[in-house]
Amino acid sequence: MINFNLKTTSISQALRLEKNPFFKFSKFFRNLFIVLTFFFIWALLFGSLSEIFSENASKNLLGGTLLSLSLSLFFFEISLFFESKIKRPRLKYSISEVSLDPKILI
Amino acid sequence: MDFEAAKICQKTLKKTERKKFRTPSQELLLYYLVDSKIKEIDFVFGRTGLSFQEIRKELEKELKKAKEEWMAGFEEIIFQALKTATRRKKERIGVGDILVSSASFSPFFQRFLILKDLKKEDIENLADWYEKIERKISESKRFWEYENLLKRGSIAKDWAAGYAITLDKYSQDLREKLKKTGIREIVGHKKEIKQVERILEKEEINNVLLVGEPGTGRGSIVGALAQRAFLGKSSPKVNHKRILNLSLGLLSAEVTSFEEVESVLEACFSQALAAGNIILVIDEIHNFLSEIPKPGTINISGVLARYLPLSSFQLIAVTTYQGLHTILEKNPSLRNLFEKVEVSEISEKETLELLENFLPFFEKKYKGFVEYKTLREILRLSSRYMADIPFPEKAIRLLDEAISWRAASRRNAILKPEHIKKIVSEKIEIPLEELEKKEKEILLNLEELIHQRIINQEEAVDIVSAALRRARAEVQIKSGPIGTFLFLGPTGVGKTETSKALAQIYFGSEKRMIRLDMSEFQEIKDIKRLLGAPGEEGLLTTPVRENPFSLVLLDEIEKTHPNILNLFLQILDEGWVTAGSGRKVDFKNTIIIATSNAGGEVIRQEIKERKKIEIVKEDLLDYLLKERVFRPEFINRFDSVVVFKPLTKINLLSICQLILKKLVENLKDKGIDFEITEDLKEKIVELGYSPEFGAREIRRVIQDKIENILAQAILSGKIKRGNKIKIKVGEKEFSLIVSSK
Repeated sequence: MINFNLKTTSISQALRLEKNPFFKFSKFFRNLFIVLTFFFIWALLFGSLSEIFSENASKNLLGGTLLSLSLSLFFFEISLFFESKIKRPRLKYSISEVSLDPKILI
Repeated sequence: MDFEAAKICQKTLKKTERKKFRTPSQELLLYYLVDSKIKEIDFVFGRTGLSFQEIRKELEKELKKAKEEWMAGFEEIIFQALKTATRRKKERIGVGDILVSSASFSPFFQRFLILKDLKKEDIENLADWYEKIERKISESKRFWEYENLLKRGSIAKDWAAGYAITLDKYSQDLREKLKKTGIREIVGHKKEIKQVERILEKEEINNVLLVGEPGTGRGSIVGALAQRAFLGKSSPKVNHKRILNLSLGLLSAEVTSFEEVESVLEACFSQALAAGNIILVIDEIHNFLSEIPKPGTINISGVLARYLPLSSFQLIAVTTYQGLHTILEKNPSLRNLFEKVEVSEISEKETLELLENFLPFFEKKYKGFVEYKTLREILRLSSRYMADIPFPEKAIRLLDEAISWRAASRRNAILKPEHIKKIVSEKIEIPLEELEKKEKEILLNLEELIHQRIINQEEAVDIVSAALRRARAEVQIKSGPIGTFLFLGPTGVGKTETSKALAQIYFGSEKRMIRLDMSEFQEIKDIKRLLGAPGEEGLLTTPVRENPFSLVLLDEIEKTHPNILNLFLQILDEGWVTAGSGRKVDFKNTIIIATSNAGGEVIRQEIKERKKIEIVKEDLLDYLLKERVFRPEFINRFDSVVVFKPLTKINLLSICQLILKKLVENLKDKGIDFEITEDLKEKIVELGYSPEFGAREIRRVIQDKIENILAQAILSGKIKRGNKIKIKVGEKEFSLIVSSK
């Protein structure tokens, strides 16, 4: 038998960080900024082709595109980091080692 | 532990804390597991047809009535999940591992599964199945991986090899087929694949002869080899070679003259040799080696014999046992150029794995859904009722047929176990639902049913009935036939009649009895007559193969050759034998009864001395072993040795009554009332009974003395519809008394 204490496991950090708003909403922001990026690109192309926006407005649209693209990439990185690193922490012992000697966890 | 599993544990621990329980419980863990809406749990519940609502409701009830002292076991489940994850070669404990360990160690979940006709192995199997699907999906997404890049084709590998234009025209490249169908997991036949690779690696005699019955997976071995060669996972000499399936059928259809066939074949083989990167495959090669070729086939042995000895020419020839014995072994010079690899059917477990791999393809094709229990039913029924087709063929065929039939009747059809039962019932022409219900009824009332036909053999009938019940309830540890019995007793006491009655009651007809007079098999060469030979039917194997649900009666077994008795040792023990054609014949659905008159005098004498039947049996067995009629290992192979007592006069009167009753019924159908008198019965017994032949003569006396008189009278119009008849017994003759009703 093992004396199982979830708080001492390496995955417990992921459980704590999951509630951190920074990680909790990273996926949402990633998706939001991707949508915004596409919207800005569309508006920029539409504006430049139909020439309905002034030069200043076009500049602002370009700025918006770059900003939302950067932010979407930033949140994409954050969510990827959470999924691949925090949710899958490096293991101190392999599962077969623990299975053979559960006391090494204590 | 992975993130999802940890989250479920965290919820369980928090709830425990809130409720102020001393320790967390396994039921609470299971509750959150079920409540988690994780894909893996959805998959297991969906495939098994378990209801989330039902288990949640049950768990809530359980948790409400739970007392703190038995609210425990959480750590035990986690510990077992750790072991499960190790066994399943996982990196971390997952949700599936917790579910599997709950199925093994949670009394609540075990009870729930039993009620739903599921086992812990099923849950583990489903968890493994899900993991496999997930792995496959994630692998296919990663286009940059080596296996996925290979599908797009290599640029220069084949440039080093020569062209094979004629060969390409008449063959199928298994590598191209793989690119279309995708990489599949290789299930079963691992040993055979290794063997084939080892032979192909050799310098001398590097041609393979794959021998096995159709449906055992000979083609899938070639396919697996092609896949391993394609991925570079085979042996160095095989890796990245083209494996071409040469279609001789196509060749013989397109090319008509023999000379032309020879030149095309010559071109194909020389191109394969020159290319240096080709392994040829010829399916059912025996069809193309026959001295007298069948219509639509050709004889290629001459051309083949020139190329096979060359080490850079490699061929995988596929054949059956019959083809091997009847054609290839008759041409030893050709046969010696091959190394044989025998292919046997894969196990049920491997077949289940294979069905799981095939299922998404079938479900997509027919837009249906198959419950997991249906797969189990396919295995159970095909194993029991389709013994003449090997695994995996029979299971795949049944799955394909069932799902296409179901899909034809409705859209988004769900395939359930009862549908499989229906399909198999139609296939074997036996209503399984009824059979299984009827079988239970029969088994419970077996004694009563046999006694309707058999007189004064209570002990024998009890032993046979009990043995059959044990065998069918599967409480007996054995893998052989349904039941095996050795009937011992003097002539005319009911041994054969009991066998007939059993065939009638158990298999529905006396025609289901395969009777062999073993006195006709007294020489060792008679084994060939029993088992058959290539191209010849066997007197034992062919009827059993054609009618696997039969009673096999081996009359006068003591008169057969001792080596033939040795042959039966395996049949009685394992329930199968290899026929002369090389085919495995299954006896698992048969009842085998061997009868013997040996020691009849011992029985008669001891019964006369009023000894108990158990003592008579012991003395009789001592006598048979002492006189070396049978060897102990032969007698021990039977489920039961049954001793039949000699019949008394009262018994004979009852037998006479039974036979006459049938006659009365026949006459009743014709509107004639036949009255049986005590005088008549006594006279028949007096004329028909002899100590040597028991009751055997009674039937003949009834035939000669009664039936003849009645037939004459009916034909001459002496007896008419509505008449009442009686037989008057005289000193020497019988006379007919006719009166109107």
